[in-house]
Amino acid sequence: MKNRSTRHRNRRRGPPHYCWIASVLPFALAGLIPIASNAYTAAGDRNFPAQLILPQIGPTDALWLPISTLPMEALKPFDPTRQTNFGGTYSKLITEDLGIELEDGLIHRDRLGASSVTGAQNFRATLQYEAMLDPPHEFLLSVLLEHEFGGTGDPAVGSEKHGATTPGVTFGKGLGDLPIGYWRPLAITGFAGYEFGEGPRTNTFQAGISIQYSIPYLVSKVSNVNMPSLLRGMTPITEVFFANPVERAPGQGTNTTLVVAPGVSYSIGRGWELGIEAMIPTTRATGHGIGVIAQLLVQLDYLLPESVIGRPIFVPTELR
Amino acid sequence: MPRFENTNRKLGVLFATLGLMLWADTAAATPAGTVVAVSGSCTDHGRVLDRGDAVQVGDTIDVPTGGNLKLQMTDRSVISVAPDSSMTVVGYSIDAPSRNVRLSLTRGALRAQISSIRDPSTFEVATASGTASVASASADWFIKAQPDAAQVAVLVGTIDLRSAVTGDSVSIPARWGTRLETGLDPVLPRIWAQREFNAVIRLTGTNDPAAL
Repeated sequence: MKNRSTRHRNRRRGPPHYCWIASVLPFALAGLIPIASNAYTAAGDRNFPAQLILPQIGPTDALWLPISTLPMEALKPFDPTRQTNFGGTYSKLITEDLGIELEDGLIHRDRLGASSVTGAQNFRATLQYEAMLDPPHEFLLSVLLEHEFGGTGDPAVGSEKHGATTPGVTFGKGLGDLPIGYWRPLAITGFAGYEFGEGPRTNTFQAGISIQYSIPYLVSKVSNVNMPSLLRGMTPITEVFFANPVERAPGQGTNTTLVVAPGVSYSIGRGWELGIEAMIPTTRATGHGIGVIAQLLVQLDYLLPESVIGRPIFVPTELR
Repeated sequence: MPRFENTNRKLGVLFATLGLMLWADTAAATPAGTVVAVSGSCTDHGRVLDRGDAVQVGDTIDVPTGGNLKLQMTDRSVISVAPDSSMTVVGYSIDAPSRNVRLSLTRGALRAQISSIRDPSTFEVATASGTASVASASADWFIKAQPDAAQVAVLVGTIDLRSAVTGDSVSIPARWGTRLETGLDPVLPRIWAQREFNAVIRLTGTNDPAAL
């Protein structure tokens, strides 16, 4: 969702224009990261932890605050050597199944032979609808429509002048309903979307998947395993994000970006959750060096359950 | 005369014994609440309950399949017991301004609408899997006891659910719920949908027209 892909040739042999684009691509990826932050959702007894790279799998009332840093390959003066993002996303339920997310943030760039620069990223809004929920099978599926408002950020830090709209689908599936013993805490989440760029901005196909092993699920649904209390709240998770521009200039090489992000999430069900992951680029177009992303999730629906902040704006008829 | 003296002595002992028994019985029969609505043949130690009957500490109440029972407790809390349930009033002590309540739910479900109280108090419902206790001044919540698990959902207030085996607990706020399987930690709480609440509200609602 955050991938602002552009066309480029081999950086070392291509014309200056393509070299510039190639150098921008890692920033585009870094710029994607905050948006990819995720919220907290559940299907039956399965609590899917907040994701850090992929979009959320369901709407919720939450606030999440990611921070990420990614080294860059600087080839000439003023090229960034590192980009750090400070993001914030507010997610609000309109009904029990429909929510909206508003996201913005700051981008800080350290530059080669120049002072650092800080500016805003583009503002984004996402509508998400939970279309399917099957608690016994720990499955949920949502559809979303995200829009990035072009020109609302600072071009000095790589914010795009042109916006983009991304329809997509997300899902989560826990394996707890299967007779697989100690593998039942496993869960898979996924995302697929198509980013329609405005103006000259390239359209991009995006997809992602995460695999997670929930220790809270293990000790509450499978077996009373003796382990330290700290470990009982952890969920090892690996996210993979993939993006590929659909249009390509003649003779242009692939611009595919692929990030693998292994890490861990920690939650004890008290209204907050912490996550940290490494960001490992796996293609030349993806970036240079290993980055880190960390995120604090504040579950407003847990902490303020009886206020309008923590519950849907429109709730179904209640019995008493 | 000796014969009369002997008789009087025997009568004195008899009355004293009877008085002691009555006093002891009164002391043991601590009132806990009153039946305000009932449907089906709900029983207390085999005695069929009717509206207006008192429920006391130590009583075990059985609600048959298809029945319902609603109790107005002495602290103005309301306990609604679902069909096919068995609940024991282990303790119900209201020493104003504090409150100490312990119920045991062997099977079935109940809704507990707990009146507000300022001073420290305990209000617990124990099941085979674990114990749920009120952690707020007042609460409106549900607990269901199954053979191998317990389930708690909270409409108003906050409830703590502690595993009987592992001792681990979770705190469940309003509009949330969770499950506890016997011998394990509680599942991390999650939001409950309104339709889920509606289902347990219907389950613990009474069919007694007089209660409406």
